Amino acid sequence: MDGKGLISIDDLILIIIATIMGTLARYLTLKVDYRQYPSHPNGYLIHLVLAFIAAGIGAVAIPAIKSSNYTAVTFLALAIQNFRDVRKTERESLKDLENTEFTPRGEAYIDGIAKTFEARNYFSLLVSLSTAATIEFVRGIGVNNLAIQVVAGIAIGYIMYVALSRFSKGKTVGDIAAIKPGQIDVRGSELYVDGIFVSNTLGTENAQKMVRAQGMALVIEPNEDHYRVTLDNFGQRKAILFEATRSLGVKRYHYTRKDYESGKTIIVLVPLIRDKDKLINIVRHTPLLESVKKSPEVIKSSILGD
Amino acid sequence: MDTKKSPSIIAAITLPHHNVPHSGLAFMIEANNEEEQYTLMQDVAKALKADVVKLSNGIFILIS
Repeated sequence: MDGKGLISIDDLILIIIATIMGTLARYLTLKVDYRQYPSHPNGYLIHLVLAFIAAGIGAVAIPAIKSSNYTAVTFLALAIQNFRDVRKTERESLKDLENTEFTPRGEAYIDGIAKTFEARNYFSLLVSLSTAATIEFVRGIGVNNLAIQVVAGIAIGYIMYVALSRFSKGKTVGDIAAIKPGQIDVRGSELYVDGIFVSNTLGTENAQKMVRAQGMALVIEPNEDHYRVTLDNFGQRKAILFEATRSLGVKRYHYTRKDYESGKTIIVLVPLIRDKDKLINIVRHTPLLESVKKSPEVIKSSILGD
Repeated sequence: MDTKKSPSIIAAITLPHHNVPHSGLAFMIEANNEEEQYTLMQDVAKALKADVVKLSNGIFILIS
C-alpha cells in the first residue's frame, strides 16, 4: 500500500481479518441480559456498525504506517472523536428516556453506561490494531505462509480481547454486600423494614394495605464498613432501585433508605411481578458505578481475572 | 439535572381546630369533621397522585 496504486492482496487480507476481529470483539461484549440494554435489534445494529468503523480504522493503521504514510495515522484522532460522540449520543439517549422509566437511572448510572459504550469501541480499535500488527510482524520476520500469519493475528487479537474484557470488567453490588429479604412492618402511616424506619408517607389505608400485602423489601449490608461510602451514594442507590423496578415493574411505591447506625441500605417497592429470588439476583448484579468507587478493593481490576 | 429532590407539600387537609397561619404554596382545605377530612384527603391524593403523611396533630399533608 503506497497510497497511489491498487491495494495488495496481502494488505487486503490483513485489513479484512483485523476488521472482522475488531467487530467480533464488540459483538462478544454486546450482551442482552435482564437489563435489556442496548435494545434489540436497532441498538445492536448501531453498535455493531460503529464497531465495524472503529475496527476498520485500527486495521488500516498498520498498512498506512508501512507505506510511510504517517499522516494517515492521524485519522486515529478521528476515531477518538467518533468514540466520544458514541458516549455523548448514549448519554443523551438515556437522559431522554429518564421520564419514561419507572424510576430514573440517575446521572451517575447514565455516565457509567455511556463510558462503557465508549470504552467498548476502543476494544474494537485495539483488537483490530493488534491483529493487524501481528499479521504484519509475522510477515516481516519471514513467515510467508498466509494461514500462519492469519492464525497468529487472530490469536493475538483474541488475547487482547480477553485481557481488555477482564481489565474493564466492573464489580457488582453482590461483590461488596450481603443482600437479604427484609421484614415489612406498617405502623399507621409509617413504614419500617427490620425495625428500621423507611418512610411515613403511607397516610392512606390503600397505601398501607398495598405495601403490607404486596410490598417487597431488601436489606443490603456492606461486607466491610468502608463499602458504605459506595453503597450509601445517592447515584448508586438510584441505580439499584432502577434495576429492581425496571425488571420487576412497580405498581406505586418505592423507597430507598440508608440507616446510619447499622450501615444497611433498605430498598422497598411494590412490584408488578412478585419474585423475591429475582429481586435479590437483580440487586446483587447491579454494577458498582465507576464514579462512586472509592475503596481500593473495589477499584482494583485484574487482567488475569479474580 | 439529577439532584436529590426534596419533597414539597402540595396540599394540606385540616380540621376547624387547626390553626395554620401561613400555608405557603400549599393548597389548604378545611374539613368539617374527621370523616370528611379523610374523604377529602383521599380525593385530593388520588387526583394529584400524591403521598400522604398524617401528622400527629391530625393534619393530613400531601407531598410529591
